[in-house]
Amino acid sequence: MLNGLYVATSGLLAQSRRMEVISNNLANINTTSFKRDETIFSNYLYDDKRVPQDFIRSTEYNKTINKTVKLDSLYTDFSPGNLRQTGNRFDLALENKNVFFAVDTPYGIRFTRDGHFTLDQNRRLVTQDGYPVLSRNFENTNGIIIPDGDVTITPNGEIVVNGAVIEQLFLAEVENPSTLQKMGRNLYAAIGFMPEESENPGVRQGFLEESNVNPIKEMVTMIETMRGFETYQKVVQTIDEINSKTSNDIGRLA
Amino acid sequence: MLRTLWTAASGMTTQQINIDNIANNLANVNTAGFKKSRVNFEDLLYQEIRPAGAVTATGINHPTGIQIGLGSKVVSTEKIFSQGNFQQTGNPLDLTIEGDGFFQVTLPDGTIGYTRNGSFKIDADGNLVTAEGYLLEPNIAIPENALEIIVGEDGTVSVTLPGEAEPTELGQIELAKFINPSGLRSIGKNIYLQTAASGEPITGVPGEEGLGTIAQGILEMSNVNVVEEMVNLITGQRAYEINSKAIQTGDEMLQIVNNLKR
Repeated sequence: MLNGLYVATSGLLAQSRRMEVISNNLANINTTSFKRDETIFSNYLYDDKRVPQDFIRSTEYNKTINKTVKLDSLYTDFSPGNLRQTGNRFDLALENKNVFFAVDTPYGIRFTRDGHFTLDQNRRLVTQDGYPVLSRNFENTNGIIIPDGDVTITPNGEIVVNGAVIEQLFLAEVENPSTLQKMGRNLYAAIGFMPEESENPGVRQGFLEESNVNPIKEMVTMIETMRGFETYQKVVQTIDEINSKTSNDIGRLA
Repeated sequence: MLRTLWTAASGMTTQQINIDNIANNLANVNTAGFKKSRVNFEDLLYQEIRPAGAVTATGINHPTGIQIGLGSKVVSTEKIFSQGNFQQTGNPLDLTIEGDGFFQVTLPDGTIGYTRNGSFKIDADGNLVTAEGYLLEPNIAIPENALEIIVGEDGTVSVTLPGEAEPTELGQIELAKFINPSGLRSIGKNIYLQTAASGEPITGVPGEEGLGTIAQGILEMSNVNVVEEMVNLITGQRAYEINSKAIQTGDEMLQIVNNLKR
């Protein structure tokens, strides 16, 4: 009997995780270039199609009941957000999918699609957190210094000042962005690999990429999560009632 | 479950700062020389529940991990130094910078403040001062008997005196600019102060070294665009609302948990 209780409890836990992911998406609805997370569940209740892995396989009883619902993984949806025109010369958006700017942080190279850059007191191109933006020329460790003048940034990341190309941004292409790890601050880490240089990055000057959170979708998922949570609660209560019958009524001598 | 509540609360807090900022922009829609601000957001930290690449019981690496985000935060409020609209006033002491740069004024404590508000006045001693009475730097004194004040594009201030055909040159207004004007600190009264992030001021004569020129009899109005602010206000309010829904849902789920025990 307690088995069923654990199954339902695992359902409650999984739904609450899901709710946490939704609230993070909603909290970042206005965050530049934020990519929404989606939860993937495995071992749904009464799902017989999957071969059970971590329990005794000998009996049919175990096969149907001993399954727990769990949050299998989080999937980050890297679909591009809308581009918003800002007109600022150091606001850059990336039109093409799977392309990232590279920034030099104290913890190593990180990747971001948040092209909201500015100059620091040394005329270096930096993010809002002050991390220098990496240039294609990796020997240049001082960061990209922008001289005074008219700055244009071409679609392939060349920085043109007063008609002359002075630098080119390093634009990384990550074939499978789900291998990237979110670090917060709109940054991603590539653990165990170095992304290739993008051939067709599609930089747009004067634009920023909005978050790809769709409020309608999140609201519907939120309702679904809430109802799922309620269902598991009913399951817990029912099992509890049965247990109560077992211990209080069956044992009673008339 | 508590994570949901705090995550959604962080979303409400960032949206509240966003709306506070929009309100300030709108309140200054008619302030001469005012520059609008924009709030920038970032996602907060992620709590790692299972790292990517963790090995399962069956020996397979999980291709992706489980990282739960903890909400959003404000990373900066950034001044946008785009040119404001020009308003012709005809007052000879209303000056506008067409292009980059700031007027320099001496604050009461002796430090130099920077402003784009060029509505100057003459104080009791004949000095050019801001509406608050802060002296223009370098100081320019207008003689009491001056008939006409002429400010050139390059900032030269001259006056015509009674009985003299040629105007007398009194001095020249200097402008300052910064590498990173977004790094300046606003102290109100349309005045900005230099910070470590803004870099040192680069001073010069108007019209040279990328500095703007001076136009007399014109005031620079605020660069707040009401339509843009209204749209931001709507999206900000909706984002605030939607985060409050997440808090409600989190709360309802907590209530359900509490009702499990009867």
